[in-house]
This record gives sequence, C-alpha cells and structure tokens, in this order.
Amino acid sequence: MLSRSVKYIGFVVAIAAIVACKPAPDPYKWPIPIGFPEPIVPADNPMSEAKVALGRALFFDVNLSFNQSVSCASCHQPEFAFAQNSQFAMGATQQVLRRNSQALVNIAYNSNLTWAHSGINTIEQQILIPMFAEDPVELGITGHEKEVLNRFNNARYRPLFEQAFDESEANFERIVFALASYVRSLVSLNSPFDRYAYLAQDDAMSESALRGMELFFSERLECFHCHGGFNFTQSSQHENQRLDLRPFHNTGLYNEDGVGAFPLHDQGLYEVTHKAQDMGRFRAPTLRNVQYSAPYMHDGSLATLADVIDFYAAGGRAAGINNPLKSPFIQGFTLQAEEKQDLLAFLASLSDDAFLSTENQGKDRKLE
Amino acid sequence: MPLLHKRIITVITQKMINDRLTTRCRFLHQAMQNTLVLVFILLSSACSKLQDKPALSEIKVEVFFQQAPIRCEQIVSLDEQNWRINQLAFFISELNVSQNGVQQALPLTTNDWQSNDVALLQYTDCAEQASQTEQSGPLISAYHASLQLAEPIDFSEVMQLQFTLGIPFELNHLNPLSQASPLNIPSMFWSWRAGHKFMRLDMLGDEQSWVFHLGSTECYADSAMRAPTMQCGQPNRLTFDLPKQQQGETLILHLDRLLSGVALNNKTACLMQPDQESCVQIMKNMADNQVFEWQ
Repeated sequence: MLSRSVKYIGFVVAIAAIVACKPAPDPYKWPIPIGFPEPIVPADNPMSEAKVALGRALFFDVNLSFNQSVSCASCHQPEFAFAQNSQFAMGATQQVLRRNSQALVNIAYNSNLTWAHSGINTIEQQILIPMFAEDPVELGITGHEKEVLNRFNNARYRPLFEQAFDESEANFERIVFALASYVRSLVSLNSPFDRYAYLAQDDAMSESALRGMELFFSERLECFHCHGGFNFTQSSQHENQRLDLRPFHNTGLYNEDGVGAFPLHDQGLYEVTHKAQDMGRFRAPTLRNVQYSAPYMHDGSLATLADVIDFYAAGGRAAGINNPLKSPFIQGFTLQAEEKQDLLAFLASLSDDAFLSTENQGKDRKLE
Repeated sequence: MPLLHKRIITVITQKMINDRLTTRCRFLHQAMQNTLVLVFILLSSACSKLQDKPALSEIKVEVFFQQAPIRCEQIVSLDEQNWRINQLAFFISELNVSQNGVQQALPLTTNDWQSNDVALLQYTDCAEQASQTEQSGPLISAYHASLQLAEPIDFSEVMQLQFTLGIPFELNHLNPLSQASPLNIPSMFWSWRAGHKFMRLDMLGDEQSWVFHLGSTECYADSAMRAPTMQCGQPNRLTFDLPKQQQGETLILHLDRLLSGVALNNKTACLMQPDQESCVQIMKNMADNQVFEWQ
C-alpha cells in the first residue's frame, strides 16, 4: 500500500514538473504610457511577442501575394504612418483600388475598420479583405492558396510559427492571427500633444500648436466633434470604454444629383447598409501622424493638410457644400492665415517621431 | 460472559436512544407543522404585499413625441418638415426620491452605462441593441433606455423624483482615459476644460440638419486640455423635481416640448453659444415646459 502511495505521489510530482517546465507565456507588454488603457483584444487571439514577430515578418513579405509582387507594406509604408503617398492603392495585378490606403495607427483601439463598414469590427475580419478579395485584387491569394502557403513552410518561417502557435506549420488562420497581432502592436501615443495633455508637460507643445489646439477644440471649427477622443477619431474603444456612437460622416465631398448622391463607384456606408441616410458616410480616421499620411480623404482627393483645412473652411466642396446629408458639424468657417498655420502646427504636434522612425521598421523590411 | 453483557448493554442503550428519538421526532413533527402554518401565513401576506407595492429595480426612460413613444429612426414632423433623431444621448445624475418631505438618494448599479451614480441614456440605432448583452469584447451598442437602481425601491409612498440632467462638477472635467464608462465616451466629451456634453441631440432632416449640445460654459483653464479649478460660470446642470403621475416606472423625455418654439435648420444649431436664440428657447423649455415627466 505504501509503495502504491509512493508511486501515486511520484506520478503527481512528475506531472507537476512537466507542467512547471513548460514556461507560461509572459503577458504581452503594450508599448503604451502608464495610465493609458489597453486595447480590447479578441479572446481567441491574445497578444504575444512571438505572434507580433511572425506578423511583422509576414507584413513585409511579398510572398504573401500570389505573384510575389506586393506585400502588406507596399500600401502601408511605415514612413507614411503605414499609409501610402499616392491617391489610390494598387493590388498585385496592378489593378488600381478605388480608395486611399489608410494609415495603421492605433488601430488596436478601432471599433470599426476600413473606410466605411459598420460590420467589420475586428482586425482579423478586415485582414481577409486584402488577402482574399477578388475584386479588386489586393494580395490575390484566392485560387493560389496552396502555392502561397508552401512559401511559408520553410526554415525561416517554421521556427516563427512554432514560437507563435506551438505548431511549425503555416496555415491561413495562423497567418491572419499573426498579422492582426502585428498591426495591433502599432501603437502611437508619444507625440508632443500626448506629453502636453496626458503627462501634463506644459512646454511640450509650441505656442503656435497650443493656439491651434484651441481652434481645433472650438465650436467655431468643430473639428473635434468627429475627430474626438484620444485617437482623434470617433471609432475608438478600449478596455474601459466599450460604448460609442457610430463613427461615419458625410463631409460634403460630393453631391452628384443635388439630393446628396456620391459618385456611383464609391458611396460609402450606404453600400453596406442601403440606408438612404448613410449615403456618402465614411469613417473619421485618426489624426495621429496625419502630417505623414497624405493624400487625404477616402479617395485621396485632397493633396495636403492645408487643402483639407480649406475644404472644411468652405463647408465641403463644390456642389457637396449643399449635400443635404452632410454632417451638421461641417458648416464652414473663416480662418486668418496665421490661424491656419496654428492649426497646422497643432496637427503636426500629433506626430510621434519614435513611431515613424524607419529605423524601427526598416530592419524588418531587410529580412525579405 | 463479558461479550453477552456487552451485547445486553448495547441493546438497552439502543432502545433508550430509539425512545428518545421517537419523542424528539414527535416534537419535531409538531414544530414543523406549526412552522409550516406560520410560513404559509407569512408567505401569503408577503404575496399580497408584493402585489400592492412592487419594488422596482429600474426606471425606464422613454422618449415621447406628441404623447407617443418614438421608435428608432421614426420620422417626426416639425414645422411641416420631416426630421429623424440621428443621435440622442444624455447624462442623468443625483437621482433622488422624496417621501413626506424626506429626500432619499437612489444609488445606481455600476455597469458600462452607469458609474459614480451617473447614468448615460442613449437612443440611437435600435438595430444595434442586440449586441448589448455581450459582456466582453468590443461593443457598438447605441441604445440604452433605463436607469438601473442598486437597491430595488417601492415607489408607492414616493411622491417626487429629483435628478440632474448633467454630471457633477467634480466628475465633469477629469481625464477621460482614467474614468470608468460612461464617463469616458469621446462623442459625449468636449474637452477637459468644458467637460462633457450633458445632452446631445443631433437631428437629421430631409435637406437640413440641426444639433443641440448641452454643457457647461464659461469654464476657465489654461487650455482645452486642462481642467478648470473653479466651477464654470454657466454650469448648465439642470435639475428637475417631478411629481409622480402613475406608478413611477417610467421617466419620459418629451421631445416635442423640448423643441417647442425652436425653428430647426442649418443656422439654428444650439452648441451653447451665448445669445443663440435657439439655446435661449430650449433653456426656457427645459425650465417650464414639462420636458420631463415621471409616470
């Protein structure tokens, strides 16, 4: 009997030893200042350094496109705040997309993704579009699944998958989860504005930028109504804040028929909901690092931030000014030349040099 | 011998125990019968009490237009124009009831919609109501129409309901990132200096839009990102003291009474600008047009 007990105890100890030997993964450390809330992360894809590392490698790898011509980073370039300095994005088949590449800044906090979709709420959902969409083709994986996957079952990637998922084999779920983890890790909260607002450093912003901030938050300009919250977009949530209004607005860019229609090839949220009032509504993007993500608007139709300010000062563009579906906060305003400079200085104070440093991101690009 | 002796003793002892048990059982049986009768009496009286005086754990908050509740995206007619609520949300705090002149605070439960005894009510996008039940992960819910009370209350003896439309000064100008929901919602926050929008009503017409944002003004601080140390010149926190009309289950916001005498168009938005005619009219309506009603 004694020997049986000893055996039993031995067995328990052995199990405990095995469990103890497998190190528990360290909780992911978000690159956020103390006091900032963490983003909400889907329960089935928790963050880990290993997933971020794999995702980073995949993000810059042209092998993810069916013809090895483009990577995610072709349209989301680090030096442009992960946007692109051209009006429209272009896919692997040289097909020109209808919209401007969005910056990837703090999208871990986004409650909606893409320019205009009320139903895409997680990055894991969104990533399927550039990977598998057939019209327009972006990475163009559809129809080439095996071929593309085979490019990741090799000596370079097997250890990365192993570390991220305890399985060395590549599959599309793991690729999506890793890419999602990487773009979630692109957090930018270290701008002069952040140091002024959240770290109470009174000298972090220039006098001009401070004057511009007053304009930005004034009822005269109304900028902050749509570009509100710590991400300067309404589409933002975090661990302690899960409620918000819908972040889509018609800014009066177009008015094709006098009663509010946007051009047929891109009518914004209306294409998703088919509700009349959603015509021409697009998601207010973040203004963090906006200085670097030109051109602007969903169709890249405004070249510079000065153009954007002029656009809002006019209360829209051409016939769009009288678009009946235009947001009530876009009424137009008059700005003195110096005030415009102040507003631009404020927008520049939302840039985070560490986030933009290509040194940070460039290293990974050389891995290719 | 000792063994037999032992057995006899055991039998006797056993009998004594049995006898004692029987007596005890009889006593217990009687006691139980009495208790049951008592419980029955208590229960039946409690039931009749419950029927008479229900204790409520929530107060519904409904939006009415011309005496009828309005549903999401319903078109209402104002000045012969069609209008629809695009966004409507407001904060209620300092909820009290009074009974024979004695005031009693009604604490609120804490959840995504309520914290620090401040509640957010929101009437946008009924379609997205379903997602509210989800307890984790992102939520894009935009419809919430009740005040949840921390302790159920019997309203039968209560005559008056008092509340503030707005957020107390001490909670109004804090860093939204470190506040609990709903005191951290960007669409309801102006800036640290100005604090929250106490009420937000964005109306969309066929050809025009109109908005009303209620909040404190004349707040002084070094910049928009700094909090005022002193109460704002115009706090614009509106208090209401409402007599109970029926059972006290529902608080009603009468939208038509709120907008009475206000011409809705692109030029008349009220964003608390001084001397804006629409603001003057709305504040007058808030004061004496029975905008809120407690049924």
